[in-house]
Amino acid sequence: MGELLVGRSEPARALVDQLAERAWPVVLYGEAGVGKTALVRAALGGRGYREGGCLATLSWSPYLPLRRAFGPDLDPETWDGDAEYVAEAVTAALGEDILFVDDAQWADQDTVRVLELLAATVPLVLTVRRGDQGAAALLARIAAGARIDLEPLDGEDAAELVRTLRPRLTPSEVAEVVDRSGGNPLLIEELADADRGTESLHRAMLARCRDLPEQQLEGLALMTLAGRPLPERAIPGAEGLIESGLARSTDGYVAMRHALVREVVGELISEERRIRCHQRLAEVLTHPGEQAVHLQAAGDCGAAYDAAMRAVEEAATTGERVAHLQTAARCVGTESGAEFRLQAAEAANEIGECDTAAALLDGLPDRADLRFRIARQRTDIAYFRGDAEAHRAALAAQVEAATPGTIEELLTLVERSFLKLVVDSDVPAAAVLAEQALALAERIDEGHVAALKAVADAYYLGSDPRWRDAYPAALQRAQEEGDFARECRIANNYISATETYGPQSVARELARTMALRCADAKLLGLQRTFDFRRVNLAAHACEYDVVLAEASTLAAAPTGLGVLDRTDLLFTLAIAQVDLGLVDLGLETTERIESLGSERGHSNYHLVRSWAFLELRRHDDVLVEEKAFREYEHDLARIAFATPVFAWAARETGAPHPTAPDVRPRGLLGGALREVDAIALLREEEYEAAAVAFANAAAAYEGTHQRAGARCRWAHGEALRLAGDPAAAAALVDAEAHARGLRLVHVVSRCERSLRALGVRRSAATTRTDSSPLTARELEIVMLAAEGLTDKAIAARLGIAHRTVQTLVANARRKVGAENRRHLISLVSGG
Amino acid sequence: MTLPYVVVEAGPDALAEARGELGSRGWRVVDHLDIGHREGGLVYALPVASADDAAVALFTAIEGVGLLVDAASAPRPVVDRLCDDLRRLGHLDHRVSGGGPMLTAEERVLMDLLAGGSTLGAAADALHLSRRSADRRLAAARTKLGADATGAAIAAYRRRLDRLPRPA
Repeated sequence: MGELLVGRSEPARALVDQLAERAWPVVLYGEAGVGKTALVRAALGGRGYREGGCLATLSWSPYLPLRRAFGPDLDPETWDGDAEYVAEAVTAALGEDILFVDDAQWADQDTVRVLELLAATVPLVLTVRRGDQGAAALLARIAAGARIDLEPLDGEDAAELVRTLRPRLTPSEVAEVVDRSGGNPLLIEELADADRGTESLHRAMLARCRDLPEQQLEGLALMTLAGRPLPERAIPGAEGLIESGLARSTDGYVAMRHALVREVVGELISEERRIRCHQRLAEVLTHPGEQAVHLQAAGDCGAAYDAAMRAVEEAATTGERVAHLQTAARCVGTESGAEFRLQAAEAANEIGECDTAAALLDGLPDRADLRFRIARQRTDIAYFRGDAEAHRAALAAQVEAATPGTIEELLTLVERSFLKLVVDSDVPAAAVLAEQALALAERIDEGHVAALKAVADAYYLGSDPRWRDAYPAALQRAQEEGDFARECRIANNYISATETYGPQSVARELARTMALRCADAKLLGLQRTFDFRRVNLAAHACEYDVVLAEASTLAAAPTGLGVLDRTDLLFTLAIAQVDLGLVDLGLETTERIESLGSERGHSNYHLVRSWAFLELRRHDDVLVEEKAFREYEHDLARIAFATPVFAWAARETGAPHPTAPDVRPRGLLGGALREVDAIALLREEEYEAAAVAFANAAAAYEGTHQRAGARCRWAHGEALRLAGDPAAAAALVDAEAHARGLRLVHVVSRCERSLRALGVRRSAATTRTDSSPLTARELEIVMLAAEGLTDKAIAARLGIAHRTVQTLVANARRKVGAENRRHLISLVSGG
Repeated sequence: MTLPYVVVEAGPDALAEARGELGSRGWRVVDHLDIGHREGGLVYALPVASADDAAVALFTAIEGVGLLVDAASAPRPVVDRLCDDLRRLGHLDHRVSGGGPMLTAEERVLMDLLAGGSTLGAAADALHLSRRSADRRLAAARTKLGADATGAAIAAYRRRLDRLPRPA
């Protein structure tokens, strides 16, 4: 047997066994692109066989597959004979070999007659395309000795094939290719080819659908418009669709096999068919929400409205209510629809879907009974979007619309406290407003959760340790009152507090629990927010595999994350990329942050660039970025967190030592402030004191911020070196091993440089491959150059010096005799 | 040897680009085939507007000749069947629409030299161009290839050519 294919060892073995048992002809049956030909070739590898393929365009050409199988080995006059004559000639020419006729459903009539005659007398293998109109006629004429049905690859095998073809794809990208291909190896191969468009595939898939009988086309249209599996009995032509491999049936429900079909089939659905199918779906589906959507699409707004309101009543979660209220609002006029749309907007904001909420508020009438609620929703939206000016303006409108001494005033006090905290950074004023809200809550016996949350937030951001009691109290009250929306927001901030001050184990556990609870409540957006928090906490712990895999997946999700979270998620991803030495990639990610807009986005953008330039030793650029960062960032904690980066750059350039803002030196921030002080000591050449200060900073970072902790471990060793302390080498070796374990390539480089300065030298790997005179490192660098990377970019990618890359390229050129860099790439990569 | 079967539906510019790429890759593209003349590295360029033309194309492919098919005016079912068949015979490159800005013949020749290891100066000499003209031509090619450095442009150019197999 030849080389085995992914997931195909069992049918290959069956084919060989059936041939050995003389169960001729062996028919391999499966949809287009499922890998029949490749399987037969692999199974027959090492044996003598003759292969002749039929072609659709030439299905009229007499004996074409047999001519192709025997070529010049049979006299051209053979093909002038009748079928019996040709069968004898073929049998004689075949000898002990196996005859393989590929795509036999397109065989011409003369060939089919010959195959009938040969069927039980020679070892014959036929492949037949499932779903082709010629397949049934062929199988009726030629009785299979054995039939092997070849199915698309199952999920695991399909994913393995994708990973084999494109090892760098993320798990979510692999899953997408598997979904679009339905496990069909040919589709997988084409979809996995990043440099190839999918238009040709779309055409091929359309051609497959266009030839379907009318009934099956109707079934396909129904499944496309439903967007989910349907009961088999509801789909006309379901059996034919399953037989042709376009659909599959599970537990009485039929679903499309390839997402690709869904992508193309819209072109085949006429307006008349669309309306008819929506009407049919409204009859077939039982959930009132789904009925409403299809009734509305079919143009029956009255019935759609009734169904949507039934769905609102039956909704189990806030997210479901949003969708049904939206449908109801679309079914009635602007005036009467206003209340539904406002309710839908409130529900959407509750679950963080601010874009949905904003769209729902657009065009609502200005009515006294709606004014406060609309202003409040606009305040929420402005916050979620990180738009400070819009936030301030919306809150002013809310203050004006609120009735004094009521829940409206309380909610407005809470919003004002929030604005003071996050926009003005005026924590004392925020605490006063929050405490006023809590007093009002006691007086009117309403709004306790909102007020408790405001108080906890003010304490946390003011570094007042009372937050440790305030958050659990607010969480408990929210749970008691069943206010899940606020519970989520409280949990989110509680996570931030424990992320900053520790212990982070509390934050990770709370994020995990809340993500699960949101998943149970079908609140995907909030679930993603808590997933993001987990990713961020993993970044603090330098668990980069988690960060790269999950951040890419989350960032690629089209919905679910608000602008702020998306910005912070990309920030986390970019920093991880920089830490791992993928600086170019990190800088590319920062461009995505910048493109999202928002003040937080701008501040994140400049902070990542500062970090990247520090690692690239472009210290002047760090100071430029620092200036821009300070223009956008008003959060004292974040400024404190960033100050060590600027302090290191200032030390290198001789710029004044930056002063950290006045925040309480606890947890993560404590580490940052100690690091800044230690850098100042280093600058004053107080090396022994600096060494102690860096050790303290590393200890303060421990458990909250591993990457900064690793940097302080190096700095501790470096300060010892500068102090002439003999313990320096051991400290630096320890720091290097620690950083290497965390894969912090730039910290490793710092340690290596310090060790070299101490006279400690280690040699690089010089492994050579059998077929190349280049070392593994030289080869790696040339291959990166072939991808179009500059020497600087390669240096950044690999975390080595620019000069080292130049030396290695020069060595490689000398070894292979290349005249220049391009010639080298051409010689080594074979391009 | 894997043969290229390029089917172009995207019009004359895309067809000219495909012809240029095949040439850069080392294939000899011809508009007429002599009887019995079937040396390696040959690609037959022909228009396909009917099932009969498609049959001619396929018989040619079966005989071991690559194809460059202008299918812009062929009925949909004919193109669909032809592509289905060619996928079975070897490497199908089906160009349904233009794939972004196209290089001119002059830009392509320059990129061929650079991708082969020439310096820009040597390439300018080989093409009897001034250094300034070669620079301008390279800048235009870089823009079309979406690259901001020469190395990246060469990598992008080679990725484009890698869509096609090479002659043995």
